[in-house]
Amino acid sequence: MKKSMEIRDLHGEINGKEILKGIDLDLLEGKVHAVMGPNGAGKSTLSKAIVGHPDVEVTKGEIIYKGENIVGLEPEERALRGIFMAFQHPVEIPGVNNAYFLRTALNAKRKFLGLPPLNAAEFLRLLREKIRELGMKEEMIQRSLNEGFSGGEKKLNEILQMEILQPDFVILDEIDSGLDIDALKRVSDAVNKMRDGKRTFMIITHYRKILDYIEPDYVHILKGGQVLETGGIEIVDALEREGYKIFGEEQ
Amino acid sequence: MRPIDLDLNTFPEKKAIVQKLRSMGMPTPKTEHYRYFGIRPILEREYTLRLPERVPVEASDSIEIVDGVVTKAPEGLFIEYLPQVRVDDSHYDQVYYINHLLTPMVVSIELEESGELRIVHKFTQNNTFTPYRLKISVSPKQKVKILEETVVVSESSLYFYGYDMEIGEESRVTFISSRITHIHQFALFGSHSISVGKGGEFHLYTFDLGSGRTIHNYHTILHEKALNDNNHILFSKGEGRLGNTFHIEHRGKESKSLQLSRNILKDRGRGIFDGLLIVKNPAKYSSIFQDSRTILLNSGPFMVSKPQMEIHTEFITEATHGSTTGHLDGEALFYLRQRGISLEEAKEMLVLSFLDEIFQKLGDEEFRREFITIYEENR
Repeated sequence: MKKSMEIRDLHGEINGKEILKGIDLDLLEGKVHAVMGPNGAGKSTLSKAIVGHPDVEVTKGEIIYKGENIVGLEPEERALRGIFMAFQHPVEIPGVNNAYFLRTALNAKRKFLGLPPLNAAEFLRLLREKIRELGMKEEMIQRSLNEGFSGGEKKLNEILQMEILQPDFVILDEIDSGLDIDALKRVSDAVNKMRDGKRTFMIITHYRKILDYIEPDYVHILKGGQVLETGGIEIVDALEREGYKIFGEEQ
Repeated sequence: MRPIDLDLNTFPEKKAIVQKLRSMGMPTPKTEHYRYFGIRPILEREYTLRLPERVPVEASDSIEIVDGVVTKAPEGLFIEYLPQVRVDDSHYDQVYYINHLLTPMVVSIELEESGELRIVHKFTQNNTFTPYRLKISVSPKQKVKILEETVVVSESSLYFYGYDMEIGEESRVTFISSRITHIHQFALFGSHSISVGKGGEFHLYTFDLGSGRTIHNYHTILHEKALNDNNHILFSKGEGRLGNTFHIEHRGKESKSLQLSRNILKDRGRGIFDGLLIVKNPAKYSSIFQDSRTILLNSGPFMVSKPQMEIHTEFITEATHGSTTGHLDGEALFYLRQRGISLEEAKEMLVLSFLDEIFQKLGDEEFRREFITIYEENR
């Protein structure tokens, strides 16, 4: 099966402290990979390393995406190549209009792909269509980016961005945190609609609930900065029963 | 600068100004509001004094003042040239008095009706020192918008100018000033005195941009229920030194002053926001608010931000002040970049979002677009 991303012996530090201690992980094209682990296991650091967050310094190893080691690339270069992260805590940026931001992002991607930019009218048509599909309020178009949005609205806005940008590799970083059941279901429905057999998802979560809505193909357990176990949903069932101690003591 | 001979027998009305100036002393590098502006190299340079003269005025849509000389003005606008006008006797800036002392005739404009006035200042001379002043009187119950623009061609000159503005009772003046200069040897001192009558409003929007040297010192007097709403955007780059200093005096009860300052600095640019809000004892139930925020785009610039309050009454409705200086929010930058937006464009978006509060208040989309264009051309 074709790999979307290969992570090889990845070591990474935050503020000089090694968090990732040799991650080896294959993420397959078109599949949903759930990444679980106790607090401090390195889940968020791994996602930050993939998207090129400046907090994480990769000291060793490779992240091969579409045949290219992306470790040295800038965050925007990775994004333009199709890597998207839905943030656990999307930042609020007052004064940056949601529509303007999204059009800038989309046209940056179109330019990267050699496509002509969408003008304001064309973009607005696309945006309205996506907003309708997601059941969002149209007023969000003109509001400042994430400013004053509820937790659910922020997460839906992340999904809206994903719908507009159509990435190939999606990281959902604890997208379920702070969501009530209804909001979680809406977000999950939107993600499921984007599962097309080609797009790869990496879901970082602490809880099983989201995996009831977005069924993973693989579950990976991270602990102490390494991948300890890879399997199917049955791993989650075992976790539910016995906790992370089944994977050994904290390193 | 060489000493200037002034024959006070020719200008007897200026003797009081000399007395005032004598009591204050001349501005020096230690004068508080010039402390960080770097006044010494400006004053030590050699200039030729150039006093503006009266010339025939051409009809135009706007007032055009070239090196202190009114060359164009709208037809029907009442302009007088007065050897001396009433001087604010409590201004904190020595340059205000020097300017009044040296200016041979003050350009006086009466605005008796609501409307819009555009004033363009052109600075074209080299190695000259030019003082000039304007007096603007707005009749009561009028609504006036003044758009001020500066065009700097001069490469090495010193200009003193300023407004003495009297805003009549219940009048509203919106003054939008766009001041752009990139010439380091050019220096502009603006020293202004504004009196806002009972129930009047003075809304000031200033946009200082570039690598030159400009400083504006405002003394504002607020009478009962008067409002002074000041909004400043400052973008200093290169070796630029751009500043705005204020003494806003609340003299009447229930008066209100607001100050928003948004500063962006890069290279070795310097910005000055030095605002003192003074609530006098009779100005009971007044409200005062100051908020100065600065973004440093690299590690070289220097911001002087001094929000200050002096309250002489026990009865104050609101008194809030704050100042922050920092770099662009790293998480916000990363968020935008994670969506494929380049670092430069992401910075640009955050800078413009930082300024948005003032543009929202101004509510002039055309001006906002124009300013953004100018900013983008000059950043």
